Amino acid sequence: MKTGILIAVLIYEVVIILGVGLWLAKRSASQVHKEGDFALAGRNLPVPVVAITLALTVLGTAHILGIFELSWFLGAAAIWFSIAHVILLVMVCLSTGLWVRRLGLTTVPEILDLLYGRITRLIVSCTMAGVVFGILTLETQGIGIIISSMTGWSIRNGAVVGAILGICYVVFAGMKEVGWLNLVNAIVMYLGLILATIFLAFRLPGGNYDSVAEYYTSSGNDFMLSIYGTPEIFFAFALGTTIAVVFSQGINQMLMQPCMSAESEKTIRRALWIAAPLNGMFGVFAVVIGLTAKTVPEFAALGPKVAATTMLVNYLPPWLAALLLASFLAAILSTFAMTSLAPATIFTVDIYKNLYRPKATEADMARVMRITIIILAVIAMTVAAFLPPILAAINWLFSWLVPVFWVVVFGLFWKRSSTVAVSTLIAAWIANSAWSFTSLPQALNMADVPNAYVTLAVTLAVGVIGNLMASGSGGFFKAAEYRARLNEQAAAAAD
Amino acid sequence: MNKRLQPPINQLGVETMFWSIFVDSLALILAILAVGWVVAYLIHRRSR
Repeated sequence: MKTGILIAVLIYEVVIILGVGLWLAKRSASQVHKEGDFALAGRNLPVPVVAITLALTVLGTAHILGIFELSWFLGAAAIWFSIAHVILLVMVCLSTGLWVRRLGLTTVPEILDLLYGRITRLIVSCTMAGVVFGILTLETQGIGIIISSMTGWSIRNGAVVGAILGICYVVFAGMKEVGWLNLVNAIVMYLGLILATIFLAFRLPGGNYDSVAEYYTSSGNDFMLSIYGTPEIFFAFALGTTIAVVFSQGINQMLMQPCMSAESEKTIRRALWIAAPLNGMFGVFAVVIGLTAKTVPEFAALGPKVAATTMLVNYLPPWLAALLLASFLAAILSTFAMTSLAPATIFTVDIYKNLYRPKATEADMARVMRITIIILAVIAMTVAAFLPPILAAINWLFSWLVPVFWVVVFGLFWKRSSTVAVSTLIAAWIANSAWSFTSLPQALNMADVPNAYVTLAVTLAVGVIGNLMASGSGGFFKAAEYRARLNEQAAAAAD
Repeated sequence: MNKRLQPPINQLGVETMFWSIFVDSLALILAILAVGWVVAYLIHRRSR
């Protein structure tokens, strides 16, 4: 057990949580007197702030531990998880972020409500809660991996401690802090990873990465050194991941928020040129560390999940290892907090209050929410014990949200028919279930085809044919309601 | 699975693994940005 590093990591967590908490308390106290200024400042973020926020908010377990793990099997092509996020940022900064800003909305359910009504909103909210819970199980596994690297415990035991830590984090840190903590940790993590790549080279023979390249070349796996991999990897992983990430996260709440706060549409477009390289290049460092871990026998023996993090603990100077692991852990804990609170809130507000206890008080709801978080964390801990491969699991989860993106696009630009929208969503989800839980892919001799391809194909087929056949209102951007909405916003801005 | 897609950077003679992955990725990211920008520009121009 690396006691020194473990203590340093825990101190970092406590200091950063308390530090950000105190800073936020001081900041909100000073803003009581100038609330109007604050509200205006919320829509006045400049290019660098929008860019950094966009680039770093999506960095989590999958970007770090997922790429470490997958580079073990696919090599440098694992970087396509990061590249897919570059394409996602292009989509957000040049289209979806601009649309959402123009509509004056902030969330996906709000957009669906506007386009198709409450039933579609409810169906999508429930599915999103399920997907978010799935991500929670992966975050729990991530905490388990970090704890395992520092203590030598199994990942399963680490996940148990991790879930308990996660619950404490939600209780003590609170939601207001999570966004800011994420940003601070992401900056520390990014810089730490760059330094780690440099320090790691010094520990390798010759003081560079030539021995790593030699390992893969001599074993006939030189394709693992190319970010394009092989045609099979490119089709099944690179393109599959791109579809899953771009069409599931294209209207992601975390990415829409900075767009709504940007100074203007031009600010969002300019932010892309900083945000995309910043996010995409993160994968380079993760892939190089993941590839290196496999070439050192003592770490290779530990397997793909903990080899890279254990190597960092053992090879880096203690201060850097502690800083890096602390920022990994804090980033994962922040995401744990967000992903446990979101389904707990949906259950408490939409199910408990709406269906069972309409007269529930704030205290009742807070109690139910706390109990829900604990139950969710315990279930997540149990699921995490099965240790699914992180990137494969996250791509599978993302594939559930692919039809939501297209239903929004159809409604904004083409036609609004709630029957077609609901049919498209349900058809895509049935197809996704059949592809995941039956032997249909094997029967069709298409076992290598990722789920995202299937949901995309069914979504486009049902959505396009349905909209061609069914009647419905025209696309929202062509409607009089949209022009009226723009006029209202312009009038409100003038006031 | 052993058939490798040639990364362009190796043809430039850069041999270090880290720099090879770094430059390939950077080139790909810039290409994606350029294509995205051109497509967005064309759509914007057409819609006007």
